[in-house]
Amino acid sequence: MKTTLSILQYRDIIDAINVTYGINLKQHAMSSLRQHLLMVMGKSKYSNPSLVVKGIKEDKQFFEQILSCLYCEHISLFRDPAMWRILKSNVIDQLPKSTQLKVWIPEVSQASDYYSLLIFLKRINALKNAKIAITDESITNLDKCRAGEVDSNIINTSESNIKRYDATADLYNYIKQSGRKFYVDKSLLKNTYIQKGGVLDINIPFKPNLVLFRNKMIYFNQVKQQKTINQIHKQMLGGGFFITGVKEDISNFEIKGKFRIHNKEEQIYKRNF
Amino acid sequence: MVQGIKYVVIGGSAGSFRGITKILSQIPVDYPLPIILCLHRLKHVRSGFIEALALKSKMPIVEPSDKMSISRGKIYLAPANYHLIIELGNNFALSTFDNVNHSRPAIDLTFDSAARVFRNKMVGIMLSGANKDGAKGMRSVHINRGVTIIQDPNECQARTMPESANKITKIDHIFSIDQIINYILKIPK
Repeated sequence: MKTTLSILQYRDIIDAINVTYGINLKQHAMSSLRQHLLMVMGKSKYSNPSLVVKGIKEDKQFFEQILSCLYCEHISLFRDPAMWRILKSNVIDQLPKSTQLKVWIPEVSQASDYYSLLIFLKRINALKNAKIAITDESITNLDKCRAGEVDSNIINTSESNIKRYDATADLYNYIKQSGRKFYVDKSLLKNTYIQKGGVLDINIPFKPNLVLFRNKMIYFNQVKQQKTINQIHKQMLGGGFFITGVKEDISNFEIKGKFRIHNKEEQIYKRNF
Repeated sequence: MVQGIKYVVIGGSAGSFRGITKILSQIPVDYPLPIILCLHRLKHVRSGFIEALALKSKMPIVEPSDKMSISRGKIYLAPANYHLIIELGNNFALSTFDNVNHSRPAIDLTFDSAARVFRNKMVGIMLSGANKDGAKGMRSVHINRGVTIIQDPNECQARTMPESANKITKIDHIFSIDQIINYILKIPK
């Protein structure tokens, strides 16, 4: 039977999440979140919408399933390979030599950008001195990041992408297979600060000069998108860089006085001092 | 059958490039309706495709950014490696959810979301293609009282896509590319 979800049922689910866990998803883009809920429901024992609210309230594992893939599922490493090349030449190389690289990846989700960043920094010998913070609402996602677990479905595309970023790079120098699973080399995971929380509610212990937030804002409505821009501005160091997805153009939002476009093609913004 | 239509949504995959460029070349620069294209394309190639289409098109073609409003008189092309979804409020939303029918952008998602928002004000047109993507989306267009058109499979380089749509839903018209062009041109009149 095909799982369906009316707008009223959708709203009941969002309210139940807010009341039970204090997580407000009202400002997520409805079409994407509805599609995501239908997918999770279809794979669970709560395929009937009338049971979902009960499931959310009583079954924490089911709720974690909803939370852990709010943003995406199978996003490959080094998505948009050109961005990673620009990140080196137009961002990292532009920071003063004495500056320590401090990176924040909010809503780390399935960790594609996190693992890509670790490999990228390792390759340019910048990992050892970098500070990295990753945050997410989902404990499942953060635990996977701690273990360095990579979704096996993305390995093939990631292998092609890393070659497009740098023809000399070999993914398997950084990712190892163990049984059916793939893991990032443990040595890369050291020095990452991990904290539970959503992008709007969190304070990390340092001010980042690079924020990677690619393809997450597409899942927010415009009100939350603006709030997110304001929050990231507030958290960042002046002169730092904020990177969104290539189709997440924030130049139409109120960014005057906060950010200016640094690279339009790759959606890289520079925070004002 | 063309009365009241305000949106043209076209899906295509293998073998559709020739058809779509022929359609675009015949549409005048002042064509008033938005035309939304969801065409299967290489995920990792961001440039080149839109430029190739633009060479043949008199109307401007844009790849929408997330939450961009849908305006009259523009052609919108689903960006590489994103699903293109129509939102209530007449704007686009992008998504990086899993591939659907091995595709991102998936025609099913664009057609289905368009059907829910535009309802009987849209025509869904399915061109040549080698998989079943778009068939369920066309069913959604029909259920929501939109007009459904497929390219005549005998004219297609790959007939699976239009035939799959024809198998699972009621198709209003089976047209050649020339007939599709005539239909699109008649809509605003």
